Amino acid sequence: MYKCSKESLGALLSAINEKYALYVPKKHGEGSVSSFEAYGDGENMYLSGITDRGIKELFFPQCEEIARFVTANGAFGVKETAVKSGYNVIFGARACDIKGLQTLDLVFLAEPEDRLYKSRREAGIVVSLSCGEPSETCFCTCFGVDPSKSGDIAAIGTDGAYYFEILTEKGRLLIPELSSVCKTTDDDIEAERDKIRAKAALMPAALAAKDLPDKKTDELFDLPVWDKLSAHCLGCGTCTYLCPTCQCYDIKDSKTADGAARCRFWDSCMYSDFTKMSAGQPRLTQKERYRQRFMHKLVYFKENQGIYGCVGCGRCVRKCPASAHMIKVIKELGKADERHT
Amino acid sequence: MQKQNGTELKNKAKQLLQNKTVDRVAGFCAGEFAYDPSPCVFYSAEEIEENMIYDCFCSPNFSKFLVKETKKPGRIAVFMKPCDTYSLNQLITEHKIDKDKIYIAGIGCDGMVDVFKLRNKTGSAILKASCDNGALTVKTPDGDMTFAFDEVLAERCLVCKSKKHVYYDELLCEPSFETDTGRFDKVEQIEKMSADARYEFFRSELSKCIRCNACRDACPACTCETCVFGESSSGAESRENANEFEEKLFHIIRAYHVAGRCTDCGECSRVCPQRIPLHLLNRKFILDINRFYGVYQAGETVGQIPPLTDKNESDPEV
Repeated sequence: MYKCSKESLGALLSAINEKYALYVPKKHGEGSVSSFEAYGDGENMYLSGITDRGIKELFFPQCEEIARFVTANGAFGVKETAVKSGYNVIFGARACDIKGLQTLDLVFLAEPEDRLYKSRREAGIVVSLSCGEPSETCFCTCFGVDPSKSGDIAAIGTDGAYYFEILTEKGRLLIPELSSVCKTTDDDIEAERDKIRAKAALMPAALAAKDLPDKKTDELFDLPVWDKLSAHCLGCGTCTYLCPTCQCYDIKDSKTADGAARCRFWDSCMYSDFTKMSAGQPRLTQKERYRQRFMHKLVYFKENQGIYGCVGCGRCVRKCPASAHMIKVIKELGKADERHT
Repeated sequence: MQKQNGTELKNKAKQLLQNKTVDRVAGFCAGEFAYDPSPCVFYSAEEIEENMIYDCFCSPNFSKFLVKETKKPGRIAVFMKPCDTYSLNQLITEHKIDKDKIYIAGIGCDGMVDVFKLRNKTGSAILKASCDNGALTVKTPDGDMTFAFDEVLAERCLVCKSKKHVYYDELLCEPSFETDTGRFDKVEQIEKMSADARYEFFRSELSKCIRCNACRDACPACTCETCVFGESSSGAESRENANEFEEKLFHIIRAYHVAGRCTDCGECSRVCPQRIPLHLLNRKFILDINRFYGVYQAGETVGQIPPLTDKNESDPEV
């Protein structure tokens, strides 16, 4: 384990930034939202809370070109977007967002592998930062997330210092930079970690969501409560676009000067034209779309992949314009459990 | 701060159900946190007693939601802040809401809290919050904090255009007036920028857009059955964000489409997860309309003809 003073974090990040593309959480002033950006001059870093936008977009961008079709001299060619080589570093990721990546892995790294996602995943060295200031909307502990330790390297902030514990082989790549600024130490920081875990588990959202629905699709699908929960859903894509685990996308070709570009971009199951086919959208009303999203996170994904499709980051809880959020769904489905038993 | 408290509203709601003025009441259900009430429809006095609340976090504008609600049989009662009634008038004018199916009880308002602003101020978890006597008290893990109301009010409330209800069946507060709180100041400031600086301001703000469409979906002036940005054959689908131009196209087209009909209710900026000051585009159009055609407030009365629909010899474009 490595230890450095709080003041020398800048020196460490600058050292990393010299060798790798480095992304850190930033917030430009009070009115602005926080998100991960290139380290640059290291100004406006935001380390005290969860960011408004997570790290998903660094691995699965909102829009990316996947191929180009070119016609030249009467010949037609397909050019797949090249995969970038070399490592990059993401510093300050929260454990919930990193659990989100593990959720995306189950989808994108299953056969057939998504080569663009895979390349970014392999290139990304993720340094987590312990969540010392959880929000009332945090409920990651309900999904087995450890807010004090995650990623390739786990950083934890204590009163005067940062500790760095290397958790994976990939994390070892940063040993030269860590050694240049930090000292190795045998300090026992487990008590600090326990404090962070205990604080997160006591957040109101974590307490409200502790009884996750453990029912099968058949038992939850037709519950009348879906009408009430979805009644004021606006049908916007805020929850899906801020979610660390939402992975649906659409593909579209557009004209270029010498052919066409194929782009893929985030889609949202909340939209009325999601998966629209010649026969129409299979989910006709907002209730069905709303139910799809929450059932996917809490039931289908678990049935198919073994883990929940929610990581408890609380972004949808904070940002839903109609407050028709995950905690309310979990609690209502929990009541459904009581009714059934 | 809200002028009527939850108990007064509950009693009124129960009374309206009991005397059969309406068969359901729209209001707010308590949320999971201090600040996340859900819009709800209540059918019985018991439901009202159990779940209905009203406080300084009950921000959503109920008018658009009545478009769907009034397609159902029966009559619905709604408590409305002054600003909501402008949107309502506009929707009645556009034949989107049948006024025989609504019963509007006007409630006084001194503004609603902006939770994002509040979160910036507290810097830690908001465990409880209550508004009282012009101040907001918040319980956090680090202790209680108190804020003067104008420190945490939403921008749209700080520059409130009117405390006057322009539509109501019954007024639960004292009648009040339009206000002048300098809501065009920021627009005028932007107008004074150089063209390049102005372009850069909007480019930088709009480039934050993630195309979630929340602004459109919350906007009471956006009531098209099918939006051009939700129709794949239009070539401008609701989600594509292929380049920065797409975002600007979306917001500028939307601003033009609601020009003359936008009442400046501010829902667009309230719901934006990226905190883009979308209302500034709309306000610029409102200010231009005021200058070119005389002061005009959309939604002031039912049946008014918007200057962009009307044509007169005195119009500057003639």
